[in-house]
Amino acid sequence: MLRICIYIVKILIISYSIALIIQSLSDYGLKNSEDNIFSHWKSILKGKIDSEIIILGSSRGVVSYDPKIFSKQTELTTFNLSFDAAPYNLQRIKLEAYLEKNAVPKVIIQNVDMAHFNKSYSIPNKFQFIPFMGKNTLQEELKKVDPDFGKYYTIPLVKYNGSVNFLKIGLLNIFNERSSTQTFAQAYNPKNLQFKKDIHNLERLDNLENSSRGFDRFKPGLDALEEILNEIPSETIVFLVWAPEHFERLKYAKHFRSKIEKRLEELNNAHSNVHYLNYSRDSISLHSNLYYDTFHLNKKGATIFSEKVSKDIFEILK
Amino acid sequence: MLFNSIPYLIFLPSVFLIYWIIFGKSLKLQNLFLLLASYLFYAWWDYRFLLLIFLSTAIDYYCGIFISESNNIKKRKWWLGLSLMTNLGLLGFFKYFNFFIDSWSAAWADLGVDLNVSSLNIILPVGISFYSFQTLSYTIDVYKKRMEPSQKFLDFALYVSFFPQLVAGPIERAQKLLPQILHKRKFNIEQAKSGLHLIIWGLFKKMVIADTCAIYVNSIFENYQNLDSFNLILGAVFFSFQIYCDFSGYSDIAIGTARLFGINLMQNFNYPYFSRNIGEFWRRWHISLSTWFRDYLYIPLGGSKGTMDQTIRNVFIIFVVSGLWHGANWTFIIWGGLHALLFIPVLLMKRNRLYLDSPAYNKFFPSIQEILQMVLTFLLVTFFWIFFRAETLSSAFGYISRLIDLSNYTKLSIEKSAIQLVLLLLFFVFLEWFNRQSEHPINGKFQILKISFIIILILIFGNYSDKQEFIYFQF
Repeated sequence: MLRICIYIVKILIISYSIALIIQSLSDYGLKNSEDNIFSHWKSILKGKIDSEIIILGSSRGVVSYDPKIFSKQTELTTFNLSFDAAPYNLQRIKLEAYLEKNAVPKVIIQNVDMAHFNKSYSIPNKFQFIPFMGKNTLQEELKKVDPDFGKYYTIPLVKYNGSVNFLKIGLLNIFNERSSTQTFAQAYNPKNLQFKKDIHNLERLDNLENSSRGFDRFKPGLDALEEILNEIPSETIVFLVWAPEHFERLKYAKHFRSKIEKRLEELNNAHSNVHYLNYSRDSISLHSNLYYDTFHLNKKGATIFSEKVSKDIFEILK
Repeated sequence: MLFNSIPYLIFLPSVFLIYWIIFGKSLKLQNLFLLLASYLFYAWWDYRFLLLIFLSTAIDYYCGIFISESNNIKKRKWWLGLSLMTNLGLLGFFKYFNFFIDSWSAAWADLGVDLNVSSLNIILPVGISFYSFQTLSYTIDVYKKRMEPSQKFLDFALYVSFFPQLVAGPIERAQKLLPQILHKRKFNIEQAKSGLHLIIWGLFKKMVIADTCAIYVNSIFENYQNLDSFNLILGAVFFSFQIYCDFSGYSDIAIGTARLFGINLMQNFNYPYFSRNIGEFWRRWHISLSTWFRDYLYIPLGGSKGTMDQTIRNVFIIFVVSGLWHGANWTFIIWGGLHALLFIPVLLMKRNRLYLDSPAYNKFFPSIQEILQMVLTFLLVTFFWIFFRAETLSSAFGYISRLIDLSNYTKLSIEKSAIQLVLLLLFFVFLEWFNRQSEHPINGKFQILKISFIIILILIFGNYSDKQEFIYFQF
């Protein structure tokens, strides 16, 4: 009996060791890859970004705000910290992860819209956290959103289950040369696509006002925003920016939209360091060639919008 | 509890350690403990059906004794009839009641008569198809005087409900399993290691191959109307591997688990996709069920000893009943019928007993003829699996008609991940081919490294979804 137990223990030790080595190599390779989501998170978690301007948002934040334009206009370092497919509760986690290791920024540009205030109960694109799973604040906070997140991560290679491509990329990346200059991977990722009307999203928006939850779905998000604004030091200037939406989209959920706008104006008035900039009905909205769907600007639209917003921000900051 | 689940990961080592360390010196206590563990295992699925398995056990135990004690042939037949009626009656009710009601109503509806009969909301007890056949084989063997009945109820109950093979086989014969239960078992490290290797190999087949194929199969079969024929071919091939790896994987885990307790179960799969004709396929696929039907239905009907008409009839009955055993759906009946159509010519030409050895025996590579034979047999079996997998006859025919429509071969769009799966399957086929004369690839040198490699593959590629049950649980 003892011999079989020893045999099993030998198997477990050897399997665990080999799996741990493979995992560690792949984690190392992913973290040291360049200019992708892994290097983006590594930049944040290692600290030393210490950017003067932080841009926050979900997919609108990712595609619409070019940090180089903001940096050039304002002459302040700018870092796009947006979190794709993530509403306010997940963006807050990312911001807190950033602030844990980096200096508090002088300016926060927070993209807002209806989708921003709709709480998420799942984590989008979980693969981006693969090399960073462990006993850390980020994992603990993400587990509050999704209790199954990172389950069994202590068993090596389980976190790569379902993400074999990243295991491959991580292992191959060990052999790649790295550039010696330090650059921080931004979240900004514009899409160079032509406009296509996203009818299914418009239909969903149309059904929104008739849904049983009504405006209540947005209240926790708006309350959370107020809470954050109360916590942010008064020296930090916060810009709540509503990016332009395609004119087709503006026809829907007007009642909810106006209620949210009203609340944002109240927050603007209640805090001297908060500025609400509403571009939702800007002239950009009328040009389909500046969008790739009714909610997201394409690369050309992002450039025009970034220049517009950065100029306005610069004027306020002066 | 599923074999690839956390509860089982806790259950099995606990039972194993208690069985050998605490009860190792007493056969009676070992058997009692194993019986309780088996009932716990079964209750984990659904405790409501514990009474059913107990009832089936009790009836067959006493029927066996009364059959043996009586010299009156009528009384013997009566007790056998009671056992048959109980087992087949329960099986028929739980598994086929709704099917017959619905089919009967549909048939009358086609004639314009609305019978207005509603079906019942019946839950199928897990494993009923397996343990019913297992206990039936016992009472029939006792009736035929092939064996003496068990005199100890607890030992017989363990034979019926032994947990490794309770829910999905192999369907064990009492003549083979009961003596092992009745005799003292001594811990044998090589037997235990062999069991462990088989469990790990079975988990690999299930979690890596079968469950990965299942993702594509489900998607392809649900959406076949919109896919090109290349994807439909892939869907059928993936299902061939899914069902093979799912079921043989389960059998491997069952057999391996039993070995940990010093009990040897029968082999249930013997590399069936390396078969050179359909006769050989049915000697290698689900061996416990096919031999059960051969011994308890085919031979009593006369087998192939009568006229040609009788032989053809008997073959048809076997395969159709085998299809029906798998499920209460016309798709399974058609599947069985198709196999009968393919098997009959082989039988009549007396080619069903060819190829008793392993293909390319003691050689590295098969001959061109063997390759062609294996490929053809595999393709035919794969084609028939379409009926097995389809939810309804119309979807099966829809799938096939789209598959054979030449205009659907013009556009080739296969996902990269599907190509990766094809490569994984090729790797698996090579692995099985080069180990076809042994039980599994883990034997031989560097066992611990081989096992570690397989565990790592399970960690990376294994599907951990709780929803991926074993296919044969539904039967």
